[in-house]
Amino acid sequence: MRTSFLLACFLCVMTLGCKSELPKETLVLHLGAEPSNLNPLLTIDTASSSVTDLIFSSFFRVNSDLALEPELLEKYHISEDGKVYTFYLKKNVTFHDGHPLTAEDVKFTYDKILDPKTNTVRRSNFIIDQHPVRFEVVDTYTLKAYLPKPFSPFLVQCNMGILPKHLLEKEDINKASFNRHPIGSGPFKFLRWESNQYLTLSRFDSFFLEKPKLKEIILKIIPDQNTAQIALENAELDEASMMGKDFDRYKNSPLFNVYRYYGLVYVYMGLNLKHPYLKDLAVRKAIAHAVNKKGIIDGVLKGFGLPADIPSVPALWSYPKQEAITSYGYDPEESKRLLTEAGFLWNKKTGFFEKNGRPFEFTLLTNKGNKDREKAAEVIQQYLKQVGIKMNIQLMEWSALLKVLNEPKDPKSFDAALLGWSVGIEPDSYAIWHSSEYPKGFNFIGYQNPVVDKELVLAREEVNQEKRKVHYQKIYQEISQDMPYLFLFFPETLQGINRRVKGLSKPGPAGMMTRIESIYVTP
Amino acid sequence: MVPLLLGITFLSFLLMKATPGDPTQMFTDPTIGAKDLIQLKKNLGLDQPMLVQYLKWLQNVVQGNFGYSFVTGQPVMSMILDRLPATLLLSISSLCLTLIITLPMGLISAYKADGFWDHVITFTSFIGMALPTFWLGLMLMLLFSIGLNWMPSSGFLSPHLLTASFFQKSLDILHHMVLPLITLLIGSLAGLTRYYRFGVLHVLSQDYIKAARARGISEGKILYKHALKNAALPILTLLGLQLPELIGGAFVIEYLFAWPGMGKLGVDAVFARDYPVLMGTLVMSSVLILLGSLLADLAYQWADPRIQS
Repeated sequence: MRTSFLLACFLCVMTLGCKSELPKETLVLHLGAEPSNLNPLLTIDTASSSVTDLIFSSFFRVNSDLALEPELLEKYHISEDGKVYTFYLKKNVTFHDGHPLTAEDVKFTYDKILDPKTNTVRRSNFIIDQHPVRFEVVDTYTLKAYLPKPFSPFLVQCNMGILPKHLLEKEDINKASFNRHPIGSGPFKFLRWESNQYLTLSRFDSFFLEKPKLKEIILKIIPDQNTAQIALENAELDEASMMGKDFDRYKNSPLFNVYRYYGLVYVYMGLNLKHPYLKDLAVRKAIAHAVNKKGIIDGVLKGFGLPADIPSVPALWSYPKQEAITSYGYDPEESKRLLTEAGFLWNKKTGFFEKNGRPFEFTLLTNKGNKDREKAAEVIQQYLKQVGIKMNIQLMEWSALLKVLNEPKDPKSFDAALLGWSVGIEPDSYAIWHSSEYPKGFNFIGYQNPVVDKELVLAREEVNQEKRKVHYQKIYQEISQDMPYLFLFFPETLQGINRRVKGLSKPGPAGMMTRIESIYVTP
Repeated sequence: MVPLLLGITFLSFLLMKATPGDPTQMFTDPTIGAKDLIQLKKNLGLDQPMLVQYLKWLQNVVQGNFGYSFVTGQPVMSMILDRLPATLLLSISSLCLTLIITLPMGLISAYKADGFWDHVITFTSFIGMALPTFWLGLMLMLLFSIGLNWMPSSGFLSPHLLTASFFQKSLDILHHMVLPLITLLIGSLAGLTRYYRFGVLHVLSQDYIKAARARGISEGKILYKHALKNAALPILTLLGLQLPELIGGAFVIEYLFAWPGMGKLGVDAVFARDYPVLMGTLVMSSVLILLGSLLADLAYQWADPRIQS
């Protein structure tokens, strides 16, 4: 009796379900995590920025060729010495509450970043050689920035969502309710945020560029990637990224297209250059020759990736020609020869190389839970074993791993770490490679190369892109020869988008919705 | 109870600080300078001695202020309260259904011990327990959402129903809850069934049951009136211990089905080293643990007159 009643209830609830349908004039996007908050000054997580990018406007937009396109700016001018930037704002811009956006708001935003009381990690973008950048309002729509010395990454770094001064002036910016109910000047207005469920944005009719075609955007928070794929397949989402293993299953879907492009990420194995064995270039070369990157890409990424040799990605303007890069190909015999030359002896019994009676052994750290990295570590372990190097794998929780890498001591207590860097559209990588960034900073492997140090500084001070490219070519050449990292691969992004979504830009690292106003959905 | 709570919070605070890493280490981005992180630590009060940090936290809690999340800047209490309804809905429904389903299953198992139905029940409930929740949830999604199209795959309430009537909303939430609930249930049946089975079996072998049988009392009456109440005693303790689990949430289920509950809040806070949120959820569950054991003791007294206060 009871069972049949339950069954009846169950059936009742089930029959409610009909074919799920996506709402009209509304785009349903996927968020992989709950945004931390919606104040662009305080956040760096991708979930937050994918929402704030729609709500706020900034000086520039990144187009599908990764070039800066003026958004809020009418034009800008850089002085001859590269120290004074003049920004001319568009005059028809208003915030969602109708208040006009002026140079005062821009100055307010940047001054807030420089204010030590603000919990932001963007401050050092505006402090060059210990001196803060000074902002000055010239008139209502003109603003000048005075740099203590020429600094070319400035243009990309100052590309921040502009906050409304009149709403935040008297608030504690770290705790303001604004951070969950933001008002910006972007194409979409904030409507609602249901914690851990979804956010709703609605069209801002007086958006200064062009009235968006979509009426609403819903951003659904679905943490699990498998679930997001199922939601896309079940027409509960318009867009979701795909995993390589599922590509074959989805590539001919009648409901959505799968697009492929390379992002701004490279994955590498960082080698501690203070390690008694790994500090030897011949040993690092031996490791490089032992590992078949193609094998890792095929095995771990199901072929959706490209082998990497330098700390940059092919989509960036600074990426050099292939000939300019030293690449250590897969050659296990060469690897063994190099190890013998470096004074290691082959022990027939154990199958590993030895020095002074101790086997060549080191430990690779990577973060637990990142399946691709865990698998890549295992593949590398096998390759190294084949040439007689014993590599142990230690999986660590993310925060604990960072603690080991970031501990400001010399030498650091790790041998090698499998990680990835997301590079952004500004190629400046001073924080990763400059010798002053060790032991404090992101040069945790302790890389030291005077040529790279010099070129990094020159590239930062040069404004001309063609000239910068030459500096970066030198940097990449040096790094690819020194092999402080074993560069592994560039993962390919697979993006499923429902066929009803139109107005997409061409596939690229900036995503396929670089002009959100032009996106529309067919009924 | 108060000294106990103080002890719990102090020890947890110690443990939390002893884990490697701190909230500012989450910002691993080459564009971020080390100076920013030091300033951030200072702003969050993390540069002070541990005892000072704890006392400050305690002082605020006594005044009813659980602090602000390091990650979102939101008040901790409002973050917890935001997620409580969804958690309670799922956990209470699951608990009730588990009790309803496992009671007859346990009784049958015990009464016909080693019979056909006992084996069937034991076997299936153990399979349910052994299936990985993650896999099971995905399979259910593939079957019911993609294959049969009966259920939404994930979420809590459809965005377009936010202004709908209470009835419509409840129906929609219920509809979204079916899959997570089934997944949760399948995993939790085995445990309680075994408890019931063991309890009833133990009671049935006792002398007073034999005496009852000898007096010719019907089997139904023996089972329901005499055996069940005694067999239920350990279950009461178990339920008392389950109280904190009700608000703890089920991380895997919540993660998989995008269910906006407490489990994810707590686990995310651990990984982000979001100390105020972590301490908030901790205080909440320790209060409930203490309350749970108190309730269990009271219920015990009520069910068993032999136990005196």
